[in-house]
Amino acid sequence: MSRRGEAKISSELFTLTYGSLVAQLIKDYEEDEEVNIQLEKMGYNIGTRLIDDFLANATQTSKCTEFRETADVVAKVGFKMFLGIVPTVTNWSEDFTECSLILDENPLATFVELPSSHKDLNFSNLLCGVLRGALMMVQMRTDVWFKQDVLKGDPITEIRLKLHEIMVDEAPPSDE
Amino acid sequence: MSNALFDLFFVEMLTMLEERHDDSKDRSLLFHKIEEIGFRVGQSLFESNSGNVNKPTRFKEQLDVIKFICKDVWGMAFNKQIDTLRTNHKGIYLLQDNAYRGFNKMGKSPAEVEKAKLMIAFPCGIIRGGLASAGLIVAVKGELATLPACKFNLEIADA
Repeated sequence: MSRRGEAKISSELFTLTYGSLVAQLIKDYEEDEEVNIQLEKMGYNIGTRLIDDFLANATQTSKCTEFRETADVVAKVGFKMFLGIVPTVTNWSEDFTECSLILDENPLATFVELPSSHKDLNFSNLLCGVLRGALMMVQMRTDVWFKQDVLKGDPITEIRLKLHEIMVDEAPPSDE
Repeated sequence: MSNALFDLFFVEMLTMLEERHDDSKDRSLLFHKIEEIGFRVGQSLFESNSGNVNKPTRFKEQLDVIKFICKDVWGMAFNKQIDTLRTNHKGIYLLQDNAYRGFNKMGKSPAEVEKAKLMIAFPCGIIRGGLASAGLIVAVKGELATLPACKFNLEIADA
């Protein structure tokens, strides 16, 4: 909208605000699982809108027709554009409907240590929602979840993507 | 880090909190939640940028701490500085941001002004949190000027 040089926000602000929001949700909800749901839902809504920004700025103009290609673009273009990192796409299922994104670093969790009282919290669950929402807008119905997370003591941070169907109907999905 | 992501994130955060508290006609609880989120951000920004904790003499006077908020903390968060700082030298400060980042794209419709009145809780919290880290207890009142400008009235309690 504005053509004036818009001040860029720092990644520190995003990381801190996200962490502060999660802390607030932990206070507000009794169950970690409920916090996970809220974060995913919030991410989904972000993803369905963020895709416009992505399509407007991505240099790749051809449409992805296969999930394999899509996952690659998500990692190399999407993550790079919005979070400044490039996860590795790996662990494909034989039929190429499931894969993993391995995050060497996670900008959402830079200053975070999870207390042992919140073992079930998927701190960065927002990311799963963003991915699911953005993919839904390009007609790919998916499940996205944290399979491993270094915050929980796992050796790596791994987001798992599972494609259910590529929808032929072009009608936009309604919000959940 | 992309501005688009943060902006969408912030809007969705407000929406989610609003949905959670839409039963109460009183918006003050919602305002308080957003202010709290800002408070923790202000604390962290202050602590991670004010250098060595073993050198507490960094700030000679109260005004130095306020200046640090206006320049460094605002700079870290929004990549700009507070535009005007005035004080009566007795614990009252008036800060003005001529173009608060969060308001840059806001219109002047009543609904958007209502939203802006909530959104200002976030920078109010950042100021209060930053000053709390410096050991200053302060009451912060945010006030919308002609958007995207806004003002913050600070009243520091006697130690």
